[in-house]
Amino acid sequence: MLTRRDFIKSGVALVTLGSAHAAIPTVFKGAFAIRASEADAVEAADAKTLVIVQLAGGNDGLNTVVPYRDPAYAKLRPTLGVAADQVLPLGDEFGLHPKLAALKPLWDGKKLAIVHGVGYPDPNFSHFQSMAIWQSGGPQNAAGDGWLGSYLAKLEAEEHDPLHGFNVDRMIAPELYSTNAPIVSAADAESYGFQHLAADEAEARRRQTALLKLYDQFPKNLPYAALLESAATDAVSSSQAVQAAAAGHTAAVDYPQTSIASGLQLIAQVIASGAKIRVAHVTLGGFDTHSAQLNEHEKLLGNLGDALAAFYADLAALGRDGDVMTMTWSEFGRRAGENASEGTDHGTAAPLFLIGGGISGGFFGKPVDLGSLDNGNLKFTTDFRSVYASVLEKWLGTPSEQILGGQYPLIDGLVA
Amino acid sequence: MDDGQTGGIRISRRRLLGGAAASAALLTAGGATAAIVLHERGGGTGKPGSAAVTASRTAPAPSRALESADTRLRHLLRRAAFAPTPELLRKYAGMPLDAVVDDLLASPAIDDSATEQAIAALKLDTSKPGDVVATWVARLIRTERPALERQVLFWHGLLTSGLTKTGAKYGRVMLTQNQFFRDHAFDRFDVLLKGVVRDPAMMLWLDVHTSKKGHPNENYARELMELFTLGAGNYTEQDVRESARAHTGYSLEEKTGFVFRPAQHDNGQKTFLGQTGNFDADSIVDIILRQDAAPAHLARKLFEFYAYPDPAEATIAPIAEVARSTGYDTKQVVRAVLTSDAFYSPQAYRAIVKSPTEYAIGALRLLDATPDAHAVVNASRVMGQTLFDPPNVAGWPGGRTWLGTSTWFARVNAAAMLMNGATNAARPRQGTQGFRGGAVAPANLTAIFPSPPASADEAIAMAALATIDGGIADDARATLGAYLDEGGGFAALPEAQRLQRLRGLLTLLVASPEYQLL
Repeated sequence: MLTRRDFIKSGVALVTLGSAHAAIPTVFKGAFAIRASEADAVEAADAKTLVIVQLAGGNDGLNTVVPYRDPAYAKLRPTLGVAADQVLPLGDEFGLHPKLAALKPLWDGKKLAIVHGVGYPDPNFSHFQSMAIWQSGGPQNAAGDGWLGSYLAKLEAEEHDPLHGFNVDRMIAPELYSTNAPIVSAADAESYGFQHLAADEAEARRRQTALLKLYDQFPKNLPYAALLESAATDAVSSSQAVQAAAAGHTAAVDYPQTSIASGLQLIAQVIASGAKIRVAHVTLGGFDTHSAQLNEHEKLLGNLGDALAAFYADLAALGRDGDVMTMTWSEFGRRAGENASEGTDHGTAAPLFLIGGGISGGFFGKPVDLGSLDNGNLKFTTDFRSVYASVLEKWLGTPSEQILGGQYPLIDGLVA
Repeated sequence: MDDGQTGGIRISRRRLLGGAAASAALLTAGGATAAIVLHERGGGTGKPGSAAVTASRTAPAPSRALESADTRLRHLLRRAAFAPTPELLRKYAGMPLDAVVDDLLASPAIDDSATEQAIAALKLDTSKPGDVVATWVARLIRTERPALERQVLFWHGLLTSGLTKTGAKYGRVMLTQNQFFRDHAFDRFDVLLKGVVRDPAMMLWLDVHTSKKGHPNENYARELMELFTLGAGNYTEQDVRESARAHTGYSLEEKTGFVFRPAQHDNGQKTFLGQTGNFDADSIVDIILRQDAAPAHLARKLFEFYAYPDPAEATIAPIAEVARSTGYDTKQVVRAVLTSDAFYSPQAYRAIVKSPTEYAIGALRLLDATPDAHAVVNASRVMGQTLFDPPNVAGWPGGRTWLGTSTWFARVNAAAMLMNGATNAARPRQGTQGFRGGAVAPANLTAIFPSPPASADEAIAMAALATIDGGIADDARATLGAYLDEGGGFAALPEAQRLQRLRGLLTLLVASPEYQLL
């Protein structure tokens, strides 16, 4: 196992890759050696990957998985409601929003699970407070590492690989965050690296070498020392891997031209490269639909469904759909009744999706009761930490009690 | 900082810097360089003007750095004025720090018309969001009132709003809000709160304008207490609902002008934080600011912005008392922070990770560089921050989250762009309205090297002093020395290469670990 300090001292990045690493578009070509290891690739394929799709802003669950036969729904949503003849029926009671049509084949093929009424007690209606609760794994841990950050820190303790976590964004996603497990954040492959460090390559290499030495020499007892060192060294080693991965895998399917689809495609490319991603994260924002919700929400759901379907098809073509599970979440649903601005205010419980070859498709948990609201809000039926516990224990194979601050009941049969 | 002011001298200096024969003339032109001072050996109480131009060979431990008067001044100017520029160091040389603070807090009185003219000359189109952001960035780069803009940046973080909610068409209301924060930067907090609830950008951001009698929208009412004034746990959900009723009828004409619509206002009795009455938005503010939690909340926010994160209760208490006893006079609260022992304590030194704005604007002001504001907007965006576009209602989380792998590359690349120049820098991949690339001229070296350094040691001493207070450990000094000397020794290199190495040296220092910290 090569440590970061070894890497800096040698000035050579060794990154584990699968087969695809031929073309490395970088100004520092030649400064690095890339080692492809068949053993690593095999090991990577054995382990499971969890892909988190965050629906930021609070997704309207009632208009995502629509209780289209419930007369209470039509009353609560006089202008925003999805008509019964518009939904894509998933049985007698519920139907998908029509813009999620791309997910219907996954449902029919038992690759899509929907957990009803996911929330938590004493719901918080603030975006970031509720996000913090979901991201940390519970209010008891609101200031600390993310729930998946805690998992990544366990992996980090055994082996340093910044690609254990892959975050599609420039800024770290809080649920993947841990002070003890620096991971990779990259918005896209092209811009993820040094750019124009100097006009000529030899000078650029001199500067890069000196810069990494400065980071190595920064006294370890000073504030932020570990953070600064890992940011620099992980950035350099992983940019080679990510750029090679993006160049190395061409999808068998056409991804839509949306940011959520591009993000999922990049995750698929890095997975295809043989990198040992355990957790990945991508965000789709814009769900805070306080006003004029109808068109906005439709567009968001269309982008979501189309991107998730393309991602699944890409992984299936790679033969990796059985190793990768995708889970959606949002900090809350919306208020059951629409507001006077043709929108919905912050609410509570909402359904979430799990997609992959490794889950059992269908409905899980108890549907929310539109006839029994709490101050106009849905009462949750499944604690989100039960979903987390099921994913941690049954999918990622790690105990959940310590991470979640308690043992939450697993959802029977969710993970095959 | 104004281009016209010193332009003539600068051009000749730059030429001189390249010409070995002209070093004598340079010394004449650079008469003010005597004020450039390095740490005295071992820290101590070095006074500006007293030390020779030789750097300390031992890095001061973080606990000792602020024992030096020179470093204290640099620390204050970084925190309260973006950067310890040569101009500010000259201005404040030998002045007691309390007097420096008073002068900085008096900065709204400084004439900034040259900046206004420079911004007007850019002919930015504020119907485009990218140009809206560039308007403020252009000001941040050039302003003669950096301490004022620091406080405007504080308000933008606390009472935040964003383009994503105003919509592209009405993006210019962000500049209205920005000017409101500028006009009232050091005003009483209640004045800011009563103004911001009538500010179109804030009203759009938190849905105030949609709130009508019988259908109150709770968004603003909640964040007013949770984020702006009290913090979670100091009010109930019922208080949020009652406050929302008090905020009904506050509406907008054409999304850009505040109007109160009495027919849409709920005139019923409201019970809010234990009091009952027919409250409106202003009486809600008055009630909130009488709560025990309010003074400490503002004190903590200002302390964390200027001093360091997670201060102890005991550190905040005297500053909160200033807030309470002065009727939330923001100027007095900021003064209390900047003159506190805690602000100059070891715990405060390099205790904050620079935000992208602090990093970029600080470097540009330090180097006296005025690139196309669009290039700076884009460089900052890839570092994780676009002004007027906060990630959520809580503003930017900041701190350790600024330093990830992607954002680290962005910082290094920005430093390189600044020193090397670029023709169409950091052009966004997918162009949004008005977000475009921009030209960056290679930064002028004379801001850092008023006279041409004769040796690698001298170059490092000058550059390290300007960028990271001069405290540089032996091994890091050796790394920089080896970089400068490679290929036969710095002094023996051809002119063009020497200049390239000096640019490289500054790139390395601006990209260095120390420089990432405020």
